[in-house]
Amino acid sequence: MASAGSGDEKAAAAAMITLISSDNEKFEVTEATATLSQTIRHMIEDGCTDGGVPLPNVTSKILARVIEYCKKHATAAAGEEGSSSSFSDAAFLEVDRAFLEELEEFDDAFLEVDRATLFDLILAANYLDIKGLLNLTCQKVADSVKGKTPEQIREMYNIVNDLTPEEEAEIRRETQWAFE
Amino acid sequence: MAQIPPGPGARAPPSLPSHLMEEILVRVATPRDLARASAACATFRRLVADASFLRRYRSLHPPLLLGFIDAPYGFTAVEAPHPNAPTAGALARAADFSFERLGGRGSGWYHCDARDGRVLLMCYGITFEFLLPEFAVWDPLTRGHTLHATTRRHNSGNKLLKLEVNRMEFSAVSLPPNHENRQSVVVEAAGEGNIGILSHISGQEIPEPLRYSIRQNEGENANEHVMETTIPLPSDYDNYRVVAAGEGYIFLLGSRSISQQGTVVLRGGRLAFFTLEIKTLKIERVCSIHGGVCGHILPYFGFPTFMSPRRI
Repeated sequence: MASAGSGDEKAAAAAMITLISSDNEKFEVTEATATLSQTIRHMIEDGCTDGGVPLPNVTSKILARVIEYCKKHATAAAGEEGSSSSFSDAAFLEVDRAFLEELEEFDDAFLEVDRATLFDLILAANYLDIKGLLNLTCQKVADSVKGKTPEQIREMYNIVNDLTPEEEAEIRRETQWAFE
Repeated sequence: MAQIPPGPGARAPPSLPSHLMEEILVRVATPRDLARASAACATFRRLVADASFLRRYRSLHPPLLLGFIDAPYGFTAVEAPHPNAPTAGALARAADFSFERLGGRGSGWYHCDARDGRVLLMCYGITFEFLLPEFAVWDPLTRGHTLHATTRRHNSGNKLLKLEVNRMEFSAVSLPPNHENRQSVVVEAAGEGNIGILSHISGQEIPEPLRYSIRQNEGENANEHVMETTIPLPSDYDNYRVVAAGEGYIFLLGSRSISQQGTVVLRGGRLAFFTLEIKTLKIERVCSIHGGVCGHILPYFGFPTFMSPRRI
């Protein structure tokens, strides 16, 4: 699990961006970390990050987790660029593979959160436009549906059954095989 | 996949806008789980029934192996414990695989290929000079079809003929030197524009391993066979025949035969279809055959009825 500041020595001289959560907490991150968010990337390009980037839709609790994800994946992206020139070198490929495995382990551990937090992360990933995080979190929810009945899905995600009995009967008729 | 712990007194998840619900639903791994999710609420049902959602889903997930077409026996659905068995059973009840009712000038339709749930059929129409094949594309679910005529003649010689279905173009592929006198299948899914060639000698008493060779299609080593692997076959069937290839799989027909006073006799009902996944080279038994087999066997891939496109 990445802790604040790890792996950032090299980028210490790089530009820092301040992100401000909805509950007014400030987070200092490198530009490389911040630009995993397309939303923030565009703000940097437009030169409107002086004095910090207010993120009124993201709480400090969720923003801290999002930054944790971005730090890890920004390091991964930098690693990939560094090794691409030595693509033919088997040793480098081996390092790449080990790093990808580590990244996968990080992602798995990152997703060990309660459902409400997972949904908050989806909303934040969408708002900040972080493709990798949106894919990861949506995939986690999609995987949790596996083998579940409609009743279980409703219960898991706090969904109200607003189908009419006629509609429900029609779905069952059309997709009988899915319930066998 | 570990279950997300609900925890005592956990707060309810915030509601997501429908475009994010769609992002989740499009990632649901199987059409079966998607069908069940669509019965959870009206929003899910509306999202899943949408044509653009279904197009996106079909582009992200491979079609399912549902069975085999083997005229005149019709359609053999994959069986439990194969995960697609319930979907395949529903398809077998809803679809029509009897092509003989189709029009055309020829004398009976022959099934050439099946892609995206549709079946390519061929029959020879008679012209003044020579026989020209006529093609039809049949949708077993909608029972609709389109007709296509060809105008070119092709000499096959000792090469394999490859038909590009979308472009209706033929091309020839040479065989690797050590695959002569063997039953061969061309696999396009070898990646990087390479062509994989799998070969096998049928009719052996002890099943001989399959031989899989990859031929480089482009670059310096074009046309060279650069890699070869042998794959052992399960020993509980004693004769295998490669019957088809497609969607990243090789399809084998396994039979159990016994020799009685010099005559090979099939052991009753002991025929089964197997899949060999090209990526993993893993062999799996998918269904047994209760009738018989005759001629050309086509694996049939598709999506369940509720999410199939209406294209014909």
